[in-house]
Amino acid sequence: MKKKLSEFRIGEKGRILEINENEVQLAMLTLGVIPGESFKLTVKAPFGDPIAIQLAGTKVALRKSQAQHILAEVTE
Amino acid sequence: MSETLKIALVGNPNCGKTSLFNILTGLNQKVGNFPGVTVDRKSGSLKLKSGKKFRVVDLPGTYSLYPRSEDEEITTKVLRNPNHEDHPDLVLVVADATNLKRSLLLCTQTIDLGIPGILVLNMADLVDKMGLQIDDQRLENELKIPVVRISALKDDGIGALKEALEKTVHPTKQDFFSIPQGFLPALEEVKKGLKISDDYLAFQALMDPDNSEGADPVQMENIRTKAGIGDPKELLANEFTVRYDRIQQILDSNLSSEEPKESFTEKLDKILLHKVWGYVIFVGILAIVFQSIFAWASYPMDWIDAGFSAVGDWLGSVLPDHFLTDLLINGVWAGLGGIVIFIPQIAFLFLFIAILEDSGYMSRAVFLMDRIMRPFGFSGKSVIPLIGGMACAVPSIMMARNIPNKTERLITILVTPLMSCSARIPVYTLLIGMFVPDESILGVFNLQGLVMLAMYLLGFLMTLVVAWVMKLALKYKHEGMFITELPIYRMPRWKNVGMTMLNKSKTFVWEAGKVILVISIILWVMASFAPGNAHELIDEKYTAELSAAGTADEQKEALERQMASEKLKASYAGIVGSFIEPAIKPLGFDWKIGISLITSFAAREVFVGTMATLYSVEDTGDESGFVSLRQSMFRETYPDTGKPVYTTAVAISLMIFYAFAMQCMSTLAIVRRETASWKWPMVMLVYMTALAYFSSLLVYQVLSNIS
Repeated sequence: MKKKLSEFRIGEKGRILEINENEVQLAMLTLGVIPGESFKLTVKAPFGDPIAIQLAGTKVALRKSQAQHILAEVTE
Repeated sequence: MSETLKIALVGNPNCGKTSLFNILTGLNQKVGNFPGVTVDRKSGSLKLKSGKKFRVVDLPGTYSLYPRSEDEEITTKVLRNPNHEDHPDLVLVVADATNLKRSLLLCTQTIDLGIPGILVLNMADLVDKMGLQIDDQRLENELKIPVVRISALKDDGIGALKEALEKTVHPTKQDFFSIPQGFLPALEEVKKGLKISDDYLAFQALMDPDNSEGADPVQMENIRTKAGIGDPKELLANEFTVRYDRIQQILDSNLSSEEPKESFTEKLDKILLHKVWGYVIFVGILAIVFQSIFAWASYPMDWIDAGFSAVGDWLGSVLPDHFLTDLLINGVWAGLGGIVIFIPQIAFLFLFIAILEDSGYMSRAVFLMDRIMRPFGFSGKSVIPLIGGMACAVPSIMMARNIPNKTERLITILVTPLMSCSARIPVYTLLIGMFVPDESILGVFNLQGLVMLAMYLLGFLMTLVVAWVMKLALKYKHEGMFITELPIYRMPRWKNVGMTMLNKSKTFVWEAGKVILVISIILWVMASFAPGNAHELIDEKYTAELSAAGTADEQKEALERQMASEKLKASYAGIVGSFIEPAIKPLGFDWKIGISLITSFAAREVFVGTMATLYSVEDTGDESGFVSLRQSMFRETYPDTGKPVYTTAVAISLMIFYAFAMQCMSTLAIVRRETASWKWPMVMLVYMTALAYFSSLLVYQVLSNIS
């Protein structure tokens, strides 16, 4: 199942498919987050924003409005 | 004699670059600024056994050569510009060996620029512990640059690194990212315009002209449009993707590596980022930090105060009675004292901020606060400057540089001076002591302490209100980017923490200090000289009285203080004070307060010293000085009506004025540097003065009409 990263629940795991906004894509790549990578959504701040995802080598926090541009596949 | 080669350290944030820098240069390091900006520039010297000498510069940490903040811009500018004074002969690319993929992005970019480099794999000790496989030989073959494993934390492998430095490293220009053919005509045009020969350098200039020397953003955009090149961000993302593909090949790794077991960081985050406990802990940490700052810093502050007065008195007793002596003691020395007194609080605050940052906690605080801060036009990252603003706005405004969005950064800069800084404490202490009884409520809370706390809250609330208004005024609707790494938790590296504290304190002394010193001298001139022969007349009058007063020392001293007060009234400062009296009268202020408002421009706490001079009391700098000053202020009446000058309404009005007014030239100077314009410091001066004036006006008019 595919959905936006902003729709992931805490504890849900997924794989990043594509990032549809240039600025967000560049920022994620800068931090070493590449489409194809697996992640787990580990934390949401109150109001569900921002969120944090754990990846293999790093943990990245981003705002919900940016997570909306990231399409991911639910793996677990 | 061999020539000194220039080395630059580059690497991701938190890669251990600074630890390596400290090891390589030891105590032979200097902290200054990069030209034109207030980014710390750390440089030092390194001499090898063979006598080969290096000058080492620690460039700000960055993830790539396309910067996202002003600190990162420095690194890019230095590496792209061969004529920059810090442009290196050799780069040490410090890589976090536990996250090699990302480190190699920056590494391949520097290689493609053709700068000779060595890849330093830091945290080598963790590689084995975590069971990661890194093939150094393969890395050397693929990257064509020397690879050295070290552990900066354990001081391991430094010998091997120094051996590698003994050898001459040749540039190995490569193309990890081959620029698409279609770009070449456009790049030729860029190369011709900028008089450069390298394709990749031209590509960077075309895509990100702001950080390439000589590249005109408009012209570059024209070239891009003409060549049909779309959004640079998309093309840069493409560059990164190409690089990562190559890096994956080199590292021979699979993208979806197996799931790491729940780490220590993960466990700790469950508590520290908890919806409730996370905030409880954050507030608790802040409380501990401020409690310790005020409790600990008061000791060195007392020593500094006593030391400066003692030396001042001593200078007064040994130097001849001359206006230059007066300038030295009351202008220069007092100005220096006014700077040094703040060092303990600032050093402690930065100590804590450095510990919180180095341990990895600060980015959690940022995460927790981001959503709450956002409606006011802040970023989560604004919490750091705002916390810092409770000690001193000057270094705090510099810390706003980490905020990537320009509008969020600007709003943060503009409101940080509303936070209650340490220079306001003496003013509040004096005034609170005047009208708030020293009693406790419910046997626990001290009433004066509560009023002080209320002043802090007032500052903080106004910070939020003004930020929100600024957000509306700047028509800021678009939400800025907030994509940031949450680094792993670790023990702070104490050496780095110590160095950060030292460097930030130095920055304060230098940046704020020079302004305070100059203003102190100007104010001394204004307060010491009077037009015409006004001062001579006062001298004559008192010379007669003093000789008539006999020999009683106390009486003489009282007369001398009275004379000083009268001279101040006649001086240029006094004239200005009297001149603005009509304007500040509606706030409940007389001309004496007017003088103090003006002298406070050097630093707010100068208010107390000026009032002491005006009221002819000895400013002993401690509680007894406050008590005698308060008594004199209470006795003051308006000559025409006989009513007391200082009522509760006046004291509150004055406190409100000090809470909001922009009375700090150093802050204005730093805002000018940080925003590279006069516009924003002027906006700040105008809005804060207006805010202070009208708030005080309202408060005074309401309070004085009730009573």
